Amino acid sequence: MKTTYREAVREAIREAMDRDDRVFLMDEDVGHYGGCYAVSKGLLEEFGPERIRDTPLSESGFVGAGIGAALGGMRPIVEVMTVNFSLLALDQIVNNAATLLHMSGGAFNVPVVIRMATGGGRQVAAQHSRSLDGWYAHIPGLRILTPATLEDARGMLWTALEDPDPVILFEHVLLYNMEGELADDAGPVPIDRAAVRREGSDVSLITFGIGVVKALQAAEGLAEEGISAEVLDLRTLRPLDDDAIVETVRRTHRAVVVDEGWRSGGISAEISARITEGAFYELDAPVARVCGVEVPTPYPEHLERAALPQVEDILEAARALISGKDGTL
Amino acid sequence: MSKAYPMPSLGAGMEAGTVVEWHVEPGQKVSRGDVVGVVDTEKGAIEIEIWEDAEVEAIVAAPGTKVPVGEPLLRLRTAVEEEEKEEAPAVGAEERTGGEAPPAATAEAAATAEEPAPPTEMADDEFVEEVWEEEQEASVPAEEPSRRLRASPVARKRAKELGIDLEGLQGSGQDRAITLSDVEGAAKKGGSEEAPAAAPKAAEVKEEAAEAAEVAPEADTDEDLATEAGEDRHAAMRKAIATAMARSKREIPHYYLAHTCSLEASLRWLRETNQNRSPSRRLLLAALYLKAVAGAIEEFPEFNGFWEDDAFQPADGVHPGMAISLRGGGLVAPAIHDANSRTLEELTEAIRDVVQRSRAGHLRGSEVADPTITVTSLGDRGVDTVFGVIYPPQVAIVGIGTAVERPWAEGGMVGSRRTATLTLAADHRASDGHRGALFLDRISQRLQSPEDL
Amino acid sequence: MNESDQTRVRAGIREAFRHIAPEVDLESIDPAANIREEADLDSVDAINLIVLLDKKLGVEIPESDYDQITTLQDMTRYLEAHASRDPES
Repeated sequence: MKTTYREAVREAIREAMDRDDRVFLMDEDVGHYGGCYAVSKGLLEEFGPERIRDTPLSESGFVGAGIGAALGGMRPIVEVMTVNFSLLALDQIVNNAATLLHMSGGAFNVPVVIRMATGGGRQVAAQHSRSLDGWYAHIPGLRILTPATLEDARGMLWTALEDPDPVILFEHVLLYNMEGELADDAGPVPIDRAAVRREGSDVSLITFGIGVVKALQAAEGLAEEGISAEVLDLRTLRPLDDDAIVETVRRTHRAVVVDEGWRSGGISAEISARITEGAFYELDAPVARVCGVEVPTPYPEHLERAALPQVEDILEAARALISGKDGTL
Repeated sequence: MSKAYPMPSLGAGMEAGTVVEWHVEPGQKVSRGDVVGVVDTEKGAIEIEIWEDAEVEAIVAAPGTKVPVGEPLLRLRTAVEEEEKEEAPAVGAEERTGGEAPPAATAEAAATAEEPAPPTEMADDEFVEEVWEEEQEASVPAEEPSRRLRASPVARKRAKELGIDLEGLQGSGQDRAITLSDVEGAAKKGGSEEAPAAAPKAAEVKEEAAEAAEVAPEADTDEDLATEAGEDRHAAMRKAIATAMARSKREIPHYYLAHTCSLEASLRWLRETNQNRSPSRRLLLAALYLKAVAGAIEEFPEFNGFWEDDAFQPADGVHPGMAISLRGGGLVAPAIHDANSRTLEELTEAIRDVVQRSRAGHLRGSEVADPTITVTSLGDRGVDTVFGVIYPPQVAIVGIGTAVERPWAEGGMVGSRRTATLTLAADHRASDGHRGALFLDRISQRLQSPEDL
Repeated sequence: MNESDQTRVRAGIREAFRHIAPEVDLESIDPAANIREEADLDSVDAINLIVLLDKKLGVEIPESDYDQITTLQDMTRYLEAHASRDPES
């Protein structure tokens, strides 16, 4: 079945609504407007205003309402238009959702799922182009998912809803239009493990979200140069799949971490540190990183492009790790 | 144990050198301080010395081969344990030795770039002398520019499993680190026997190479060849000087001081002393200058050393580099080792020797790498005042202008005196003008009592 | 002084210059010009030249006579005069 990432997410919501009547979706404009990225288009007609709820412009309010509903036994899918606006709900997410189980001595789980669009590349300027996925991965009590494929877009939501604790799904804005084949029987997928999207032997490109798409393109380019790159899609930023990270480095001995987020204090730093901790003696070169340039994301197209990791940046980093090679790897 | 003898770093920005000839062959025993061969660099052909007793196991780089700094030239066999023990202290000493490897040793990160201290000097033209004669001062030769062996973690692990000695492997990774594939490649080739070809028909190649390197006079041999090599070298030296001087002016906050002193005492004493000496035993004024500066340094150590890692690192010995202009352009400033403790006769001899060898392209590695301060003189035909440019990472250069006769007031009387203007260009990060003034004055005072030099 | 002395002195000078300043063409130098300036000899070159002349011609030039050998022709004349007095070397 040919489909898009957007349709796959919609199908995931539809399936969840069908399977469990405690599930509902809420956010600004998810109903009549169909969602700011048109993910929920048609769902209002299908499920009615009780379950596809338009909310006031108050992230703190409706995210808090979602947490309350989850505490009350519901299985809310709270959409936040983009990660940028989630900052208005940080207190609810970080101080409430992430801590209540602990604060209540294990009495109250918060089975809320929060979806948000993330990332830059659409020329919507600095305050609409952030990649804060790694930021949220810093918080114990949250599970952070970054679906990068149609299968994950289709399958992660249900698994997340089954998790008794808060889960945040980051959908990169550039992925919504991604088209591809999805099995007719595609359904829920596990969310605990990273996945090798392409096998290789010379260098590991470790990434997530939109980085997976770019890394796969880079791997293609590297193959033409005789460099065999493995692409590891982390899928889950919290908890990180340490075993998968160590295993891929063990195979290739070189790693390039690709993260659209900023380098300083970013998730790329965490991944690099874990490689050093867990696979130091497997390394044949220092860990390299390809990250967003440390500036507010520029508005002009050429500057925005320059500020975000591109395929050629990944190619260059990978080549540099293998520099000095005479072609025969 | 078997270990590599790497291409030493002999100059700012030196990245590689070309082997001209070997004076040793596999199986030969060598002692610390021996000149084992000649490499061609932008400073000219430099005789390279060995820093430990060992037996030459193999020649890794045959004459004619261009070898990056830090990569193996020879494989040596040293007497295991003991040698290793001995080496440890040596490495510690190396920092101190300032002289030698300050750069190479510290700068392993830069791998290539640092600058040991070669020669380029900058004054303008003439120069003076140098001394050196080193060799026998077994104590001076600094340590071999050792740098930590660069190998990736997995390469180290694998080498251990395979029982391969990483020393001597050529690194192909970033910063020339030895990688897994280097180790496995070596394993395939049969252990660490990296030294492949080695010295082929040494004899023939040697002659040819030596000839080419002979920028020197004597050889009326193949002039074309010599000229060509000379031109290449000239261009390379120009580039090396450009790099070092640009860095100096970019990074070093120079301050300049000048002091005019009477040379009457020195010149008179020199005339009397030389009167009955055969030409080869006559002392050079340059030797007096050198000794005066070297002695003053003992009281002003902040001018003798290197600015490295944002701090002044005093040098261990006093090894002034004498700026020597080369015929056809360019200059070098080889070290006159331990100038403070040598007699004027020794210094004169050393100066004459090193000037000739500089011009013939026969400097030794330690001379090129060791200078701790530079002394430049524009000789007796030049200019009144020299405004020196410090050779990084050194922190000072003393300039001596032409000796000229000037009206001189002293004790209420005006008379005529032969004088010279001494100048100091120093790194303000390492010292201040007050001390600089005292330093110059001390040099001047010392020139007033030549008999005590 | 005889002809062979002359020849010997000139050959000795040529030989010495070839070591000290190989690129200098003595033939093209003005014999009346200051030789150190013409040949770009510094003080070390100068003393090395004196030492070489002594070695080759057996003429030990005292420092006090340095002002008598400032040009090529003076130098030649001086050496011829002294060399002929000492046929031994």
